[in-house]
Amino acid sequence: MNAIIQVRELAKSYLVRERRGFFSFQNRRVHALTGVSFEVQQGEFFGLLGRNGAGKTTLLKCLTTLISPSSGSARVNGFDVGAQAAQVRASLGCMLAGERGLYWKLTGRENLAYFAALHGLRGARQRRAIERVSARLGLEEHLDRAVETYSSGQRMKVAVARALVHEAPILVLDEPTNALDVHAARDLRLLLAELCREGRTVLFSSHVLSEAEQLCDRVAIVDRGKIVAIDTPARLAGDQQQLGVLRLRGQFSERGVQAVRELPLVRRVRLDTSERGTVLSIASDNVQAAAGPVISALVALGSTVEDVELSAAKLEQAFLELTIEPDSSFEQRANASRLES
Amino acid sequence: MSAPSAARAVLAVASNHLRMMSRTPFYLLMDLALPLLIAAVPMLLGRSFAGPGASSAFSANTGTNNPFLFMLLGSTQFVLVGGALFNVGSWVRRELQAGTLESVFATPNQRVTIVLGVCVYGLLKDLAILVVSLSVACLVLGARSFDLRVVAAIGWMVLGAIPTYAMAVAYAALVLQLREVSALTQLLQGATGLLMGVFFPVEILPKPLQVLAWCFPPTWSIHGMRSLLLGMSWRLGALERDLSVMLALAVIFPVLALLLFRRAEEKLLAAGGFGGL
Repeated sequence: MNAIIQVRELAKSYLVRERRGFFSFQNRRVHALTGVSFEVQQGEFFGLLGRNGAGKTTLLKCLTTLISPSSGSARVNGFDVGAQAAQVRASLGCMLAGERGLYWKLTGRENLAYFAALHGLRGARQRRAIERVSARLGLEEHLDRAVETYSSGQRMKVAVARALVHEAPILVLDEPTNALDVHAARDLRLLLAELCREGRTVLFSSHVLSEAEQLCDRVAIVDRGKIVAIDTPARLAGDQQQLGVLRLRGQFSERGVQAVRELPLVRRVRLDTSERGTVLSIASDNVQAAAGPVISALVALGSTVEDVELSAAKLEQAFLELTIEPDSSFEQRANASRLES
Repeated sequence: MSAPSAARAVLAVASNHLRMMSRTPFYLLMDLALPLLIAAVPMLLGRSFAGPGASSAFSANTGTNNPFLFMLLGSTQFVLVGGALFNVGSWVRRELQAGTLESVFATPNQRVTIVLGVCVYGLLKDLAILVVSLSVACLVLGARSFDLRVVAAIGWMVLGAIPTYAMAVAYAALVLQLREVSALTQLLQGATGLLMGVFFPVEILPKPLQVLAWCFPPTWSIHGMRSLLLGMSWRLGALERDLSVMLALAVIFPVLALLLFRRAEEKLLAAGGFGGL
């Protein structure tokens, strides 16, 4: 295999100005990425997963030369993102701002022609490229209307077409199925899978885990600017299955949860609160052996357990396990769970 | 990137902007009509204050007995300078907000070529404005005959537009960092209108402002056009000397503007990119 994207110890930090008063500000340094290293192979469908603010978009912008890294290095299609930015950009088809990156007063065709021209396509080559990509995305009948008259899904399609029009070897898509309805999202997923089968490399970010599970050869889970796991979706989910997850439904006291966290067989504990009640998920190397002590500890410290289950872990499970703050307080966890739910 | 590729990118950007302008034709109509409308105001004001003797008083102060053309050249240059700031500075802001700046800057072109494309579009529009203004003034209103000097004045304006657009590129660099444009554009437009002597000779400004005014390319541009079309004296006594200054400005200002833009680009790349609002 041949690595088409190579990222080594990439870091990005910048100053954020925070308002402290009417005229006063304070600068705070934000570490958006820290020590990120990974490779994407040619023809691979690679996903970046993470919650909002995890650093996915910053990473994509570093790779598309829209942000310069603070340290580390990255090569795209053999070119350095710092020293050979123009060659890097020529190797990429980008969709980073979704439907926002289009000229709404222009027609879909004019938008595509403009971006094709900026990639050096002219005349008959440009016309053929636009015809090919619009046929592929089913855009032909809308192509001569102003983009401002399009539906959200149609605009997203034009944005995707814009990324495809110059036939770059690497596609970089930031949450491409956002704002698409179920059918349009499925169509786009099928198209991306097809493009990947044809030999294009796809790097995309998402927080839709089922999408990544379905499409990606490998995924990197990004959390607080770091890659916390990188593997195939099946293996990431499989790791969690080997680990074993005990799910308890009931009412849980903070002391009870703390006691469970300190049990020797317990690796991770997460509390989720939703309309259907509170669920305590416990990952353990030996879930059968851990179940008894866990329940005993909870009940002894004022918790009630209504239901017990051992669930088959999936990518979502792995994602949640890997991105939850290990030492956050009970309340923070409960709040985070509420927000997520 | 090779020079032909860069030139093609510049043309692609300029033609894209012309295409977008065609979708908002009233903006073009406004730009074409504004110089004449703006020039009419001080003309009528002068008449209402000074009566029939207005022209002779004006002639004594300016060295020309053609106040209408004096005003029109001033108002045209005012519209052109405002347009340059608006076309380039506001363009950056608009596209930053629309998300298109990031899309365009993700193409394999030097980012400054994209900005140059916008400047070329602005220049073409300016040329149209000036040609229409002078044609109406000469052929319809009879302000003077439409001869070779008018063509020379248009050429002078194009030369003056180079440092003016360089200033606009520097302004765009500022907008990219400040992310604030409307009030700043109007403030700059007002200040430049005052400094370049839109409706009056620069010589009536206080001395410190005069020094500032002659550091400012549009002042040379407007004065040169007035010298060509109204027979007013050249600033440095001869066409060749004023032309040398214009040529120097047309070299120095773009170099400074490109350096400023590059610096702003580097700062933005380090700070967080082109995608925010």
